[in-house]
Amino acid sequence: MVIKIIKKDKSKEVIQYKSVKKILTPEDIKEADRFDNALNHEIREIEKVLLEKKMLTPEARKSNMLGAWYLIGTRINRFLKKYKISSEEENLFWDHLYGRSVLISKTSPTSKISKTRNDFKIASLLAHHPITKLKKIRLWALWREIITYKAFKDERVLNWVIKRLEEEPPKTRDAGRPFLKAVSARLKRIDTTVLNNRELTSKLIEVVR
Amino acid sequence: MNYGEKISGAYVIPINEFSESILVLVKIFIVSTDGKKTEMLQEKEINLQEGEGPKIGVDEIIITKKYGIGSYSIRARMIALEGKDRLLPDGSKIEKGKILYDRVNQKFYIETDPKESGPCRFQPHGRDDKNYLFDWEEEEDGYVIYFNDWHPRIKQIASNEEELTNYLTEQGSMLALQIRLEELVGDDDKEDEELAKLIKDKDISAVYKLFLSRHSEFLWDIKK
Repeated sequence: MVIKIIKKDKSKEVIQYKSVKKILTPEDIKEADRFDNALNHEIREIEKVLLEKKMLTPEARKSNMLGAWYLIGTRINRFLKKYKISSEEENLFWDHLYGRSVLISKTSPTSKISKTRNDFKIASLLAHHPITKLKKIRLWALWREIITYKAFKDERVLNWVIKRLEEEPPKTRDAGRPFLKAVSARLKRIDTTVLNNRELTSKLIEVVR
Repeated sequence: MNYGEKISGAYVIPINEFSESILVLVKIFIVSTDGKKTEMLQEKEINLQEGEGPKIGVDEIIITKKYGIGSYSIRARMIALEGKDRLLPDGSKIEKGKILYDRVNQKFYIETDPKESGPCRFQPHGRDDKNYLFDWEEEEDGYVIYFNDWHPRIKQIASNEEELTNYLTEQGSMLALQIRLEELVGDDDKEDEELAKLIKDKDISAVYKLFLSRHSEFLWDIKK
């Protein structure tokens, strides 16, 4: 899939079509335009739902940050089921979701943003979990941290981390960060899939002991 | 690689460099670059004695449509299934679950080519203009070369990706030379002596001759 990129350069608008392919055909351009229109339409729909549900104000303030991003992630995942994007072009897709809606993200990052910091990508990852689980930790900023740790891909580790954070909820993301880092460090170069629940828990408990 | 082709010898031989045996799990698997698809080729629990262990993996993999188009890796991992009172070279202890080996052993592409690299990319930009066949613009990571897909020379091949690619690849050498020449005129880079001489001598009659000879050399290499 070729991604259409519109760059606003002072007075003029520059349109680029990017892909892993080095030679684009006229048909690639048509397909990219169709994809871009469909994506913009989806973004407008998301904005509409967010405003209706009062998760977003017309001044671009998210009243329920976690809920709003969850809805965005769910809708994007559904969109990506319909329009398949190759893994090579996925980064381009996530990068250029910014700048499409001033309501969803007021400002676009000035420099390239990594996949682990991209709000849309994070929202997409979070939307694979039930919202009831996510609501246990209400801080969107803390979820942004949690979801990017490789060690937490094991559902048992994630559940244990959530439980601990529920018991002693950090007030801010920065307050929660040392605990997350400690869990991740303890499981560095450990394949948790070979551990039974008791073995895994004993390693995790070392972090809080 | 294409469907129906084979990969031979997708196996690993675990080695124990300690002076005592260790219980390990060795896995060899195929994983897609995006990490979304994994296929286990073989996983085996072994009590690995000092020295070389048994061969683990498969002799051949037949590429079928079950893999889908894309890039893949053959990856091997060895995990300790017991703790040992010894430290690894990085100072960490050997405990159950510890990954002792984790490497990509081979990367391959199914029905697709490896990601192309190069400073130029081509993009159609049609205009009803007899004088315009190609144009280019510098961008952050190289150049974008626009081609006029309304031009009769390109219009007739524009819907045939293979023909279009061949044509643009052939033209690419001339365009690259022109771009390089423009760059050299703009700075003092003397990396390409022949081009630098061309600028210094200001002999216009030599430009086409040099370009043609380089173009010929390029075509020779890609068509050989």
